[in-house]
Amino acid sequence: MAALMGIALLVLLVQDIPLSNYLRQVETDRLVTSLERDAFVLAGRSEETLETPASSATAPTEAAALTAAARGYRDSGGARVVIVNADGVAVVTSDDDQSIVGDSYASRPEIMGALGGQITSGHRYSDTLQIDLLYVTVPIVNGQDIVGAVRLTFPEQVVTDAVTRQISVLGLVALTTVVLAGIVGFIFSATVTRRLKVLQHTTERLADGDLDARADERAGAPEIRSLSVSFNRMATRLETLIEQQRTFAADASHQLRTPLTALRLRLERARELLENDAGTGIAGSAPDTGPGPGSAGAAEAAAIERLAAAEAEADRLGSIIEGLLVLSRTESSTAPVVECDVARVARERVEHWQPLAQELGLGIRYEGPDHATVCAIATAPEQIIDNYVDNALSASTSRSIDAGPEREIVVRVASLSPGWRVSVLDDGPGLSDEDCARAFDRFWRADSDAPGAASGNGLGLAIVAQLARASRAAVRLERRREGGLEASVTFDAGVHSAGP
Amino acid sequence: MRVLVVEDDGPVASGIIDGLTMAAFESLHVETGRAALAAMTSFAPDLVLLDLGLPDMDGSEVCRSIRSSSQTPIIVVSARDEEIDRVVALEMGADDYVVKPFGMRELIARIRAVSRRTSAGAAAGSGAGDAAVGGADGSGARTDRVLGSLVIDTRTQRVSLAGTEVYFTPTEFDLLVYLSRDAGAVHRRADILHDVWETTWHGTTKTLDAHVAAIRKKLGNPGWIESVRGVGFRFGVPE
Repeated sequence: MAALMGIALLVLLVQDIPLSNYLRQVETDRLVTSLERDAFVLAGRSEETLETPASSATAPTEAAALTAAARGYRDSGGARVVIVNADGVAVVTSDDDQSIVGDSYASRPEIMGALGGQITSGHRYSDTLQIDLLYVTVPIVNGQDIVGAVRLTFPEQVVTDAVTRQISVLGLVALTTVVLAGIVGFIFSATVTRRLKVLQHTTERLADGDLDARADERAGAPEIRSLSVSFNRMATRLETLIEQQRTFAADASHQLRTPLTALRLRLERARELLENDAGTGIAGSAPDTGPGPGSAGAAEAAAIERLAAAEAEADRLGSIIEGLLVLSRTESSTAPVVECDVARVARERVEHWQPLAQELGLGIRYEGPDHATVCAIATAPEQIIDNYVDNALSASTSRSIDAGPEREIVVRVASLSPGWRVSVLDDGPGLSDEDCARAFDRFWRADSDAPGAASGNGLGLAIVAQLARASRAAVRLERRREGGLEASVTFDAGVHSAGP
Repeated sequence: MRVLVVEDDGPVASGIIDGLTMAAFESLHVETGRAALAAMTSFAPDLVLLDLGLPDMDGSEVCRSIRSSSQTPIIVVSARDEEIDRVVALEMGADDYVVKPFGMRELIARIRAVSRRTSAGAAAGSGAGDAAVGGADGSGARTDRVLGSLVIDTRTQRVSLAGTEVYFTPTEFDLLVYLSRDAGAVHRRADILHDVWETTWHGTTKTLDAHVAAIRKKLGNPGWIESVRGVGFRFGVPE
């Protein structure tokens, strides 16, 4: 806004310089023309006076009359008048001081020109008055003879003043216009800006998961209204898509769970029938404790074992279905991003995993500040840390060969101005860079030979990535230089973020 | 005990009936809501297993119709695990809610629990003793579970070990109650997660292990809960 007005003022200034030159020229021309006209009038009046010989009785009277006329002209806002005779001697002046009457002006170029019959005009510097003058000199003609000349001089300052006055009036008008245009422009743009801000606020609400957010299509400039209409169309489409995905999740859950139930019940029943038949006796005895002491045949024992394995597979299928549903729900989730203390969550998670880590012969500890406020959807930090720790526990126990006494998992919260990074570090076998990049894909599995790898549903990290996306956080896996893996998530800082 | 199975999916229904027969229950299978309402008088069941997704009418509607004329306990068996579905079914008069896929042992345990609760309520002789409230346990029913030196009180949610009170988180307590209900039996991981965690997805495969480890630590002896590799866990009193 200010820049716009500044440019307008600069343009005005630049234009004023040629404009003032032009005005000066016009003003000078106008003045010269008017002076010439006046000079001719005076010349006409002087004609008789100059013709009258100086010795004549009427001469003083006529000279006095002409002097009075010259003074009258001067006083009416005209110029200084000097009338010379054919010899270039001043006869009449408009001055109150008549001392120069009788002085010869013949040497002055303009007088010489006029006595030669030319009309001259121009500027000159007056040594007497110490100012620039504008002059006009005309000859006084009587028939064929030039009997004298009239010279009118005018201070140049008068022209300059006139020009300055006009310029300042113009400048004032221009300035008023600019200021008025500025005020109108400001009011208009403020309205547009306000509408845009409202629209921006609506966009943020939609981005934060409020699917009911709609823009006002009837307010503001036509461009804003059209933008609002487009925005609303997009929001409606988005809402429909998310709704469809939610419906799909519900449908899929029903459609897949029902046959899975039938499968499970049948497998369970078949195993129980065999177990009873084999006379294992003890209800609920573990299938992997081998054949019972009864008369169980080797074939029956093998069948029981296979059925138990089939049941485990059915469980895994169930886990995958549940995982997909969770993923699908997370993707269509519109849970709002809120502030949470990720340091507190991390400490709690460490405490939660402590007993299991201890059982597995591992250490687990928290490293970081007391508080770290970040923006995330409510349960995301907890679930992400749990997934990372789960993987770290698997990784740390998978390599039992060179198990040192120092093995531990570190959950670290570090300031990453302006956000916070939560890392889970393990000293397991780590992953190749290629695997680090692919690990967040659905159904990706680390090393399928690793124990426990088959029990996962391959969706844990995909869900982590989705939770992070919904929380506007970034996830990453990285090989540690000292061996092992660093799994991290970087959150945006919350408003009340505390320093480390 | 007579159980009416209202389920439109044939394979699931026959799986359930098979299991019920094995547990010595008498059962009848119907596929529609109308047939279920008709069977209420003709079959006169002691308990109803009701699927919510029926072809002719909504399951919750069937639930309300049954409840308007009788106090027969109803267990809803559904593939929907949203909290709202649960709430609606329980509001309509259901006594329990089981999400598919479930194991037969869990289903039978629930059938027994519900019928015990309702018969206890009926025995109290009070018309206001609504079985659906599930608080009918209070009248004379034992709430203490004693396993060696361990005493679990399900009513006050307190656990004491050799006379000293041990504090558990709500999830740990539920898990302990679940495992100790059938001491000596192996509980499969999937069943435990399904029954104890219910709607909430467990997130990671080791969440269960973490809770078991926490309980073991608080009980001071890993022998209380034995890990059965590849299958699950078994609760027992350590020697």
